[in-house]
Amino acid sequence: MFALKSEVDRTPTETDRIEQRAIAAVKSGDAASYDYLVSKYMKRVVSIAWGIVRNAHDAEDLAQEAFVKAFQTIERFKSGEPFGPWIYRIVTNLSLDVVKHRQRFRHEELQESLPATRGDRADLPAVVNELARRIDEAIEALPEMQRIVARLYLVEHFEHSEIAAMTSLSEGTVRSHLSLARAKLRERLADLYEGRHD
Amino acid sequence: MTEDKFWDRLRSDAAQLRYTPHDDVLWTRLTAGIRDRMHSEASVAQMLARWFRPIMASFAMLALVAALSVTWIERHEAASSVETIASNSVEITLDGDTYSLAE
Repeated sequence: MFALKSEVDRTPTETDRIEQRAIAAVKSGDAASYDYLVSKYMKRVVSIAWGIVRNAHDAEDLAQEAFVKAFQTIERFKSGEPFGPWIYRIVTNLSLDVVKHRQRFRHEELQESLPATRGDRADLPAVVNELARRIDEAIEALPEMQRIVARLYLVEHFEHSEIAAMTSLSEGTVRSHLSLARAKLRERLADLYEGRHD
Repeated sequence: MTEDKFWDRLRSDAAQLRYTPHDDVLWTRLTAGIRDRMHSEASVAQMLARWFRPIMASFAMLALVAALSVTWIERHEAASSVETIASNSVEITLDGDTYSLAE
């Protein structure tokens, strides 16, 4: 089995090398080495899924599905590439499928008979202060794709090119969504930010 | 506050909205779930591969035999039809008289 070491005393290059060794081991049939990749990326993957589907149970299920899918198709994964962008793209696509399915479902069913699927703030332990709550509400009020792109940029701190790769949008479209989101967020959060000069 | 400053500030503040439950049991459960699904789905794939590979190999062999047979029959028929034409004389009737090209 592939040896797992503490994340603390590793340089980024060493981490990359260990990741590449883990990928190579999985490709050659050592499924146990996949644990390293799961433990390294699991939290981020769940957070990305949760940000899109806003439901803890769905996010956990999607994260599991993403890792299983990545494992099953690891042969297609290019050696030498970082695993992160690949697994982030898989989980984003799966989460977007869930969102699209919900939208289709909403069109077919009566609105009032549906349970709330967004704004699942009860699962978010981080929302402990007014500022975080207001930002969360403002992002959630954005149109669907603006909301998803804004969340990936603002909350998950992905760059434009990374978001484009994850969502299969062009970088220009990502910038456009963010530009629209920024104008709306600035308006909605004006009372929080306009008075601040720091 | 400038547009860029607002955006940077918002990005910095929004980082706390990441979903990171501090529940070790959850992460252990999720990791175990992935391991289970990997093994169960791998065994289904292996079972399918075990059945499908011999079946596909048999079909491929049958298709090859059929293709070779068709080619052989076509070549054989082509050769015999040339012989048939060559052995039959062609007769042309013109103005009541019959001429044979074989002669």
